[in-house]
Amino acid sequence: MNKIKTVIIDDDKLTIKLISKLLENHKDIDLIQTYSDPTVAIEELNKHQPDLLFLDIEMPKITGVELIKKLNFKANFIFVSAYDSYAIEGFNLDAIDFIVKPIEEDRFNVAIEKVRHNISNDVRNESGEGFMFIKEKGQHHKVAISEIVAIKSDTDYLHIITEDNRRFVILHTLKEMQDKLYKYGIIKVHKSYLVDKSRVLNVDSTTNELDLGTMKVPFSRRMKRSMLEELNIKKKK
Amino acid sequence: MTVTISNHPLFKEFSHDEIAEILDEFNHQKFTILRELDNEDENVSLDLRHTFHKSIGSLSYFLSADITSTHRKMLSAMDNHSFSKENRDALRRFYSEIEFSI
Repeated sequence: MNKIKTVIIDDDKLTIKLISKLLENHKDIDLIQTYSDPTVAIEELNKHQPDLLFLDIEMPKITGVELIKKLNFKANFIFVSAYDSYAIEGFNLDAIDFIVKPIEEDRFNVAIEKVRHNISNDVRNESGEGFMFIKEKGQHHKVAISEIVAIKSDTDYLHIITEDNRRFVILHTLKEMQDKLYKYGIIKVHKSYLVDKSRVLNVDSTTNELDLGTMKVPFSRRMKRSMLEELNIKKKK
Repeated sequence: MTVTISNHPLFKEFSHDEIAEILDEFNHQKFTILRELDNEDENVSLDLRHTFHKSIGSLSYFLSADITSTHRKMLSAMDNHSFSKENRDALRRFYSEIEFSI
């Protein structure tokens, strides 16, 4: 099994030491580098694209939030901070977890379990290239990823909507599904919606809606720029 | 109040040098905070806010949850421009009295 390549970025050396020690108990995790200067880390992270980041939020020169936005790959990350007021912002960026200092070993291990679930739960590996089996009411339905038009989040559940208007309800988080399906061109456009970007026929900035042919879905103003970049309407920064 | 770093279970496996490094860092945070608090300017400097924030994380391993919570409220007060003279005095007292040892 491939180990989970992990990097810690924190200007607090104590936290780096502690996380490093705690990771020694997890043999499937390979700590490949630590950085106390986040500006040094960015270029290296983009080059090596590790599987997991432990990241402080408040650091000099650049915050953890800004750092995540500067990465050119979809990173799995856990925020570690002394200040829980940052948690909402962290989760808005789809952090796998948010650990508040003091780091407690049991709580840390819960975060690692989430990482394992998140990283190993790859649709391609579990179900085959380009399709997934969706279990619903005792049956397993084979759904090609290319059939999916949109995915809507509803508290703990997701509604998967296909081009022939079939709807499946599954217990899954939007973040997990986003990570699994990003490589198939399924992107997040709203806190509650993923869409197949190849199906976007029209972007209506007056109503903040996307026309996907068989349905319309809202997009958020906050995600508009990244969405337009994904759709090649706007050049990537 | 004396904080003995090597007493904490999480730090048990740390070498003497690593503990000494942590001790230096804690003292650095303490003296930075005291220096910034002594500044006559009533505004909260970036150095004070940043170092205090880091110190909350560092000391949270050794202090009671109540003290950590009180400090987080003070940090929040700094962010909301409501860090009072009473807060400033309480923080000065706290950092003047705390001592670190290996």
